[in-house]
Formats: sequence, structure tokens, C-alpha cells
Amino acid sequence: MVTSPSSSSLVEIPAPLLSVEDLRVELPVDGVLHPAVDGVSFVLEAGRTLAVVGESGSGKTQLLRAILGLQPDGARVSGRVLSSGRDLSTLSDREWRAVRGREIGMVFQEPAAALDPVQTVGAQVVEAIRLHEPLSRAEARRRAVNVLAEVSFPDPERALGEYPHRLSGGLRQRACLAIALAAGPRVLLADEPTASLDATVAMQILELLDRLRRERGLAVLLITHDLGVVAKHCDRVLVLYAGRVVEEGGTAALLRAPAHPYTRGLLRSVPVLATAGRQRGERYEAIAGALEDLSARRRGGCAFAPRCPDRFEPCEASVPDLYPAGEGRSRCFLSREAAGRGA
Amino acid sequence: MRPAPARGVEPLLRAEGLAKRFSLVHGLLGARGEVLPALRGVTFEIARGQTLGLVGESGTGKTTAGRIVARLLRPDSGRILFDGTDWLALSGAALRQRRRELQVVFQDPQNSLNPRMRAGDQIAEPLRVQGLARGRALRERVGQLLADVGLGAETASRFPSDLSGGQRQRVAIARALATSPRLVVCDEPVSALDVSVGAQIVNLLLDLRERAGLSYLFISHDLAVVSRVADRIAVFYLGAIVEEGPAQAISSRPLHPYTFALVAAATEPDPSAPRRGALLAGELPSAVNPPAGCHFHPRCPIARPRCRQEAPALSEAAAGHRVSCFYPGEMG
Repeated sequence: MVTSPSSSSLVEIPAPLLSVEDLRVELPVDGVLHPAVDGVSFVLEAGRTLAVVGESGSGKTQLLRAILGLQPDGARVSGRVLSSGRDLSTLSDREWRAVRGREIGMVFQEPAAALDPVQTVGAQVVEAIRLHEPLSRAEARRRAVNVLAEVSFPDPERALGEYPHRLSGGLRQRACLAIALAAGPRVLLADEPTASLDATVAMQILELLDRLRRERGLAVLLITHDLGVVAKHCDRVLVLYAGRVVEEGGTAALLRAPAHPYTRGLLRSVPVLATAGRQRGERYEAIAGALEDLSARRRGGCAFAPRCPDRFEPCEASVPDLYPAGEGRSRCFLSREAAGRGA
Repeated sequence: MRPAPARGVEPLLRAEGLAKRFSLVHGLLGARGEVLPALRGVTFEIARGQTLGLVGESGTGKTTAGRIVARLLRPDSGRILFDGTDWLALSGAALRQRRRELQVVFQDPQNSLNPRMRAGDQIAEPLRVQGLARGRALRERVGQLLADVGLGAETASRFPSDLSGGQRQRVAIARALATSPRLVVCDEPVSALDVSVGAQIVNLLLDLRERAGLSYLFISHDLAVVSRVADRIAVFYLGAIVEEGPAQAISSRPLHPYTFALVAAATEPDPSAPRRGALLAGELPSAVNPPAGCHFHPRCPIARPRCRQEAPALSEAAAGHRVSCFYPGEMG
């Protein structure tokens, strides 16, 4: 008998809807290729949300683009992306268009930029449906109303005729979700979907995402910088630094006992309310320095070593592997030592 | 109503009844007559050496208030006393002379710094304009300011494009500090930065306050950040202050239901923290046609018939703690 480690009511064993294997994206800087994403692997399972946490330069945006088969000019991509077992790396442009929206839906940070300002919400949802299914306009329209109701538009019929600029930020993001889910993808990639929204509205959108994931059995990849959002809405976490996964694990264990010095520093940098335990004026235990630009990074040792309070000799010499740490894995020689002692 | 100033100590800044309306122009023809009241008569004080945080979601008026204090925008009505001076009446040479005492740090140093000017020249500019230093003394002062904000002397010759986001914000802070101001308006100073870099900048602002005896007007949508920095917090909603009081009380025992929702939305990276649902329905209504009665009532979980008809005044609910709600503290 296999039980789900999460508290969700799913009973079946989750199957990976999307697998990413050793994905590497090299970008040209002054004619030289530098790895922006360097050997990233993970799986997305039905009904689960995986968080990808990383700051500027971590490679999270390039990772997302590579999963969708979108590469900047001059980039070199290697590794594999599998959608329900099918290798996407060999698809033609035409085949890719059938995958985006149909198998993999996407929502982005700025709903205002993602929506077409001169088309009604209804026209955009209908278009997303008819791109993938040979439905009549009337049938597609009926389906569009259902999808808009599903993302909790207060008046879906009326929303069909609304233009994006007439909608609030929260409703625009709901419209984007409706478009993303219109053709029934099982995988949803969400890139900072609440970063441009006010806190009380962001909560509403995240709860909507949770409900859609449960009801549709979606596999969600949530790119976020907000560890509070991770704590509440994600099952597993990947922490990216300089293009590599530096730590991965189940949310609760990883946040409670982070193994990698970067994850620990990040957690201590998160603004939390100054209430009884934490006083006004108390300093953050901030991470020193900043991540170097892509072309200035050392590739020979641990990329975090220049900022790391715990660095020692091995960190300069070679890149650490992902070593077992608690229930997860950590790309740190300290975790190797800890694992060695435990064995 | 006016809060009584602490006995014998005049506040560094007192803003009284600030109001500002913007005319809206829609489309090519510009539908006339729509007026957005961005600020509906707000009153607040900043004590000497203390920090007042202005918090609220976008469109609530906090940035407008900051821009008025910084003399970047004229209010329609209201007055500001800055260190005893009628701040809004100053103009010309007198204003230029006094500006050095009140400086601004903006959200995005990418936009607030001149991309074609070296960092050192940008920091030197206010000193040069004010005639405060020149020649070798000027260079030494710039070097000292760079050191104060944690940057090396070599940064002086760099252009903004050569610097990281955090370094650019440090340069912007150094420039704001160049004239030794007494009050710095910080408008979302860490919102454009990564979490780890934002924490460094908050630490820097805290250090500088201690060292230079500064006061801040600290504006942010993020209650968690504000609560770390501010002595007192004013919560804005639809152009008005709905709650104002000691930072500790605001973040641990909020009285207004909107503040309560902001506290609940300040998510913590703690998997064992109780998971609360979204407390507020809907979004900020249009300020052009605000709801009748209490402006917050359509989103308020505890609204009653009275709230739909009458607007509560901002009044003292506890010592030094003002709130505009008929049923303060009921959501706790």
C-alpha cells in the first residue's frame, strides 16, 4: 500500500506528467557560451505543485523557456524534456504549437502584458480553445463561459465581452488562467503569477491555483521568490542558484531544516512581521555580496562559495554534487561530510 | 482630529489635511469631469529620529503622500510643518537651500540614477549644486559616502550599468545622504530587489539611521518590511489613513479589519504556521466612485448595516493608536 506523503486526498500514485532531464541552456555573451541553466532535472506529478525558488540570475526564466521550447538566438540547449513520456526536444515548430496550451499551459507575472489589449477576454479564450479543438464558435463560446466560471469570474457571460483594461489586476490574472487552461492542459507553468498583485489579491489567486490543481489534477510548476508562498502552496521545492539546483526536497522539511547555506541565508533574509519575538530595528542575517553576472561566474568550484559563510577548501576546487540531506538533497560539501558521518 | 504632540517636543514633520485630486482623461476624446481623489485629507507626524511607515496596497495614496512631503507634487490643500517651517510655502532660493534637509530614495535605482553619469559624480552632484564642497574636499566626501553605504572607492568611476541592483540602490542612498538630510523619504526602497539583496539594504538603512540620527518616511506595500523599520505605522486605504499607531501594536494587535487582512497576508516561510484563507473578497474599488459609508465595507468581513451608511472617523482607540472603524479589534 502506497500512501501519499502530502495531506491531499489523492489516493493513486502520482505519475510524472512532465520530466526534465539534465537540462542545460548555454547563452552567448560576447561570442562565448555560458551555462545559464546547468544540468537541471525534476519531475512534475499530477495534483502536485513544485516550487522553483531563485533570485535574479538563478536561471529560472531560461529554465521555463527551455521547457516550452523557446530559446533565445544563439543559445545551445541540451538534455531532455518529456511530456507524459514523449520527448519534446525533437519536435518541429508546428508540433510545438500543438503542445503549448494543449499539454502545457502557462501564466506569467504581468497579466496586463500577457493579454491582447484590443481583443475581448471572450475572444482570447475562444481562440485558445479553437487553436486546439475543431469546435464551432458557439460551442467554443459555451466552453469559454465554463472556464471563466471555473476561475471564479463573478459574471462569466459578461466577462466574455470585457476588454482587459477594464479589469482589475486580479481579474486579469484570472483571465490569463482561463486562457491557459482553456484547451485542457495537465501541466501548468506559472512564472511569479502573483508578483504584480496586491497581497490580499495574491492570496485569492493562489487559493484559486490550489483549487484548480486539486479539481483538474494539474501538475503545477510555480516559479516564485516568496518562501511564504512556498510554505503554504507547494509540495516540493527546488532551490536554484547560478543555474544549478542547490537544494531540493519536500517543502516542510526543507523550510524547517534547510541544508544548503544559500537556502539558509535566503530564509533569514525573508521579511517577516516584527511581532513579539522579533523586534523593530533588528538586523537581517543577510547573505553578503551578490551573484556575479553570467560571464563572470567561476565554473570550477561551488558558485555560492564567494558569498558563503561556511566555505572551506573543497569548495574552491570542484563543483559539489547533490548529496543526500535529510529527506532531500543538497549541493554542498558539508552535506557530503554529514552524509559520510551518518553512513 | 489632531493627535496631541508629545509634551515639549515638536515633531520633525507634521502633515495636516493633505488632499490631492487627479483629473482622469480616458481615450482620445478624454471623457471630462472624472476626478480621482488620491488623498482625502490625511494627517500624520514624524517625531525626531523616528521612522513613520506608510503601508497599503497600490492605489491607496501612500506614494502620493510621500511625493507631496518630498515637494515633488503639490497638494490641493493641507499644510506641512517641517522643523517649524511652513514647508509648502517655501520656493525659489529658500526651497533650494532647505531641500538638503529632506531627500528621497526611490524604488528603482535604474530609473532614478542618470545612466550616463559615473556613480561618484551622481553622489557629488547635490554637494556641488548646494555649494557644500568642492575640489579635494568633495572627492573625500564622496569617498566617505561610498564607504558609509558599504561600497568601495573604485565604485566612484563606475556607470550605473556596471553595477548590480543592490549596488545601484546603495549609490542612490549615498546621493540622498550627501547633503546630511534630517529626513529621508524612502519610497518602496527594496521592492525592486531580490530578497537577499533587499535584506542587505534594510540593514544598511537601519545602520544609517543609528549613525546619522536620521528620520525616515518609509513607504512600502510590504507590512513585514515596514514593521522591521518603523516606530509608527499608518495604514492607507482609498486615499485615507484607516489605522495609525505604534508599529508593534499594528503588526501584532491590529484594530482595523483591513490591517488585520494585511497582517494575515504577510506570509511566513513557516510550514507549521496556521494556514489562513484569503480574508478579503474582491479588490480595491475605484477611488473615483468610492463606496458609500465606510469605504472599506464591500470587502469587510464584519461589515454591518451602519457601515454602509456612515463613514467612521479616525479616532483614538487606545493611547496613540487611531483607527477608523465602528467595530475596532473585532477580527482579532
